[in-house]
Amino acid sequence: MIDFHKKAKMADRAATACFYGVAGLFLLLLLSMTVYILVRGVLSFMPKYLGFGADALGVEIFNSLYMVFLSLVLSVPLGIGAGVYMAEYAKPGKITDIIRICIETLSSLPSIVVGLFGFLVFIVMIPGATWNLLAGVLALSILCVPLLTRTTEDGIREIPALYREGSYGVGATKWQTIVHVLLPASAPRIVTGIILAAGRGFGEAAALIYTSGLTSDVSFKDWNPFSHTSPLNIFRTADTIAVRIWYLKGFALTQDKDRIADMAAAALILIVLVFNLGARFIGRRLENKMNGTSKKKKGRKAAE
Amino acid sequence: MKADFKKENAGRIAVTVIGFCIIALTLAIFLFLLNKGVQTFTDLKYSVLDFFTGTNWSPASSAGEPKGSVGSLVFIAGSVEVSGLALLIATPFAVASAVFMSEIAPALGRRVFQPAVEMFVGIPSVVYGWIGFRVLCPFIAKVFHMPFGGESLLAAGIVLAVMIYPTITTVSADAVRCLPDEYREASYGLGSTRWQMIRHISLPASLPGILTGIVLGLARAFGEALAVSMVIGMKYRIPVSLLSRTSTLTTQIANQMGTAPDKTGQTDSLWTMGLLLFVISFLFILLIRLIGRTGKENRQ
Amino acid sequence: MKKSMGTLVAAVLVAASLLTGCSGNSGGSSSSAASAGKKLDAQSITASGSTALQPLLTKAVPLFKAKKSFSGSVNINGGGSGTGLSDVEEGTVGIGDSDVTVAQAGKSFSDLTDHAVCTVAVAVVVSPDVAAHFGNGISLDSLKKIYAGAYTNWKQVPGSGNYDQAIMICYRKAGSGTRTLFETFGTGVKFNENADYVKNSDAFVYTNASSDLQSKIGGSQGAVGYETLPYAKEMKRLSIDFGSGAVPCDYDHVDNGSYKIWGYEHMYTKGTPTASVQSFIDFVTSKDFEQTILDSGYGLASNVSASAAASHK
Repeated sequence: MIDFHKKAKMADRAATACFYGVAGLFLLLLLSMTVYILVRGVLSFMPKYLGFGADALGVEIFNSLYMVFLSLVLSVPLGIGAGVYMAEYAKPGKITDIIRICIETLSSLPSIVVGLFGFLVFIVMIPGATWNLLAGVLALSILCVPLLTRTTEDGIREIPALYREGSYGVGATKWQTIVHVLLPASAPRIVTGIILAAGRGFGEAAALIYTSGLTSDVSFKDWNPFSHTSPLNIFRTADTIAVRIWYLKGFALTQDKDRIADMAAAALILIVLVFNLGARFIGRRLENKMNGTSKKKKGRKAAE
Repeated sequence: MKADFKKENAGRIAVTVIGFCIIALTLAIFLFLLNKGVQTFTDLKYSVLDFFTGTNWSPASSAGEPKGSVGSLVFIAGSVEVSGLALLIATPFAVASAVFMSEIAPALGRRVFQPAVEMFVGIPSVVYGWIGFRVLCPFIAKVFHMPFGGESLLAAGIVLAVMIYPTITTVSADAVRCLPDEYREASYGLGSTRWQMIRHISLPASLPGILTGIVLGLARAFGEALAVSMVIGMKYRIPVSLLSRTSTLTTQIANQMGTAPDKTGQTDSLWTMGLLLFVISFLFILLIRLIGRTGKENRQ
Repeated sequence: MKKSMGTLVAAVLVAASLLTGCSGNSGGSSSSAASAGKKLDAQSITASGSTALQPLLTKAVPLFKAKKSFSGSVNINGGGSGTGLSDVEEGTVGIGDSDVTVAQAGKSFSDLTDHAVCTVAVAVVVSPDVAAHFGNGISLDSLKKIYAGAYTNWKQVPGSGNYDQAIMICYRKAGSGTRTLFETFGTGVKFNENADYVKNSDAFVYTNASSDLQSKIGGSQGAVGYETLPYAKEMKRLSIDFGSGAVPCDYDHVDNGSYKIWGYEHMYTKGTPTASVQSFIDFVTSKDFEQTILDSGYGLASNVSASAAASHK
């Protein structure tokens, strides 16, 4: 009996060591990958490639930000709307099940398939259309909507029933409850979801290669949205940082392509890191704000 | 009062429409891909059997050329093998990390490990591909004495494994965390060590969740295009060893789309591959739901 | 308010995609999107295709904008000659760049207009170690045998000074104009990547486009590939013996007909090009641009002797 127990204890200790080892290994992997990219980016840094000249990354950085912003404008209302529907209005049944399967299929669709669909519908089927920013924005939105839907739905479902009951108790309608109680209460979760969706949008390349294209030709002196060289024009060809890295690896022309790619990768990782940390930070701030100032919660706390 | 109800109805209608738009969108994607994808077989008369079992992919790229063939077995096999390899590499580490995060060091897990894993998710796939190309391929070339470069099934498998690791980890960790504490307490009550409890109680009980994570990881690996194409070598050959060069469905689409006009064998067969990918993702989703349902039944 | 905007947007999205789907492939009746497409066409120039011609056109863009005070946008994409031809045929771009004619590419598009810009030579490039051993250049026959898989080691190749090194053979994708030129005027045989000897040998390496090729050849030993002269300027090139002595790869020899692996760079348009597209093509083929052509590593079509031109119809 005692021998058995000793063996079990040794096994336990060995297993624990293994687990710590694996965890440590992956933390190390993540750290070294991030450091490698950042260091290479710094080593390859050539200031002329950060500006807005030829082959420089300034245009791509602007394009990434602009496209992500536009796709959020499109997908946030749609995603939140769908999430609200699923959480509050959808009755359990066949149709709701079908919607759920659709959301899950959309969210696990390979981004290259979304890019193909975008290419087919927005470029091939529209006569005279060439690669444009709007098509890329629409493709990104298709990728972001399921994410936001799920985040919103989960966020709303997690809210304790007391919130709803309290709201109905003071005579609010369902819609008023949603808009004035449930959405604000799940705001931290939703905002985190939005920021993560933005992060995904930054890193996306496969869906954009065939929709918004591989090149950009803009003049930053021209801000008229209807002019063809304006950065704001949504019907122009636009490449993002991620697309640029892909392009630099296989099809680029300049001698410095490796260095530009290193810089681009570093820039991309930095942006994603900022978004990730930002999401966490804002999420926590909002959560504290909600807990601190929400009168209902204070009342509940007093009652408990 | 009336105004309130107007808004009420407007709101309800709006979100219901949006909900149904999701169905419409998914259906639209499927129908468009279906329309383009079957043209390979209906309009251009390539054989379905040849598509799935043939190994010679050399379709016509314009109307005047001989028809050629669209044997896509190479790409299907490539996709399957690369994803399978990635799964094999990632799963043990991912499950171990999940257990670590939820059982061994939950506090450390929540504050350090979880954010770190989520950071992994955020890294764009092209960056993974770039690192793979710059670091992993030369390394493999050196270790395995490959004079022609280290692009291989192994390189793609490793890159994908690192990419799907966070997916499997987070889902599995959620599953393990959600186990009722009674399970653990019962196990400790019987005098087990933590490892025994993990091995005999936690893991089997959270198996459905872990399997879900694995299938999600597999789906992600299957659908990855750019990172894989940078390190896989792009040869039309069914991989026979870890060091073989090959191609997958996704890399073929990424590289060949647009090189030939519409309604030719070359382009239409790529649409068929896209359709195939859509169907496979759908099947993965059904599989996950099946696992979830079986898990619930077993629990009861 | 938020929700009704969302509904409107969603309805537009769904309507647009369903409408365009219902109206079939080549005709579209979605009004707002179509007119937007046409608006893009008028003042913007999009080209795609040959990666060999791409650097020249990219250089032309700022010069063109300055000379013709063009305020629209000009986008020069790559993708390979095959892509360029099909894109312009489809209407996705206004100009399809190609290193080969439609016929040479094996396509049957009959409604494209050819505008010849300049000439481009295709050089055989090798890793520095290989170049060091080939004093007198390589024979055309040896090239054929290498790409047919008959030679696997440089010591088998005559003229290499018994250099014992495995040959790494780089090839481009099937639609590449550079590859078609190399096959048509060089080896004379279409390279088949589905052939067993290619599939089963790791020595045959697929390279995406010029940059991939540069990395591979520069970074390995024993590598050989083909590349257009503008890109190959920094790489080690081999002279080729077509039967009467080794001929180096440069435009003097292209012009007098002794170096045979070259082609014209074509810009193809479909139907009547827009004014801006025509203006761009006119600029690129004008006298003002000739010096830039020569400086960038291309040749002038006007310099080619009659006999050389005849053999490249």
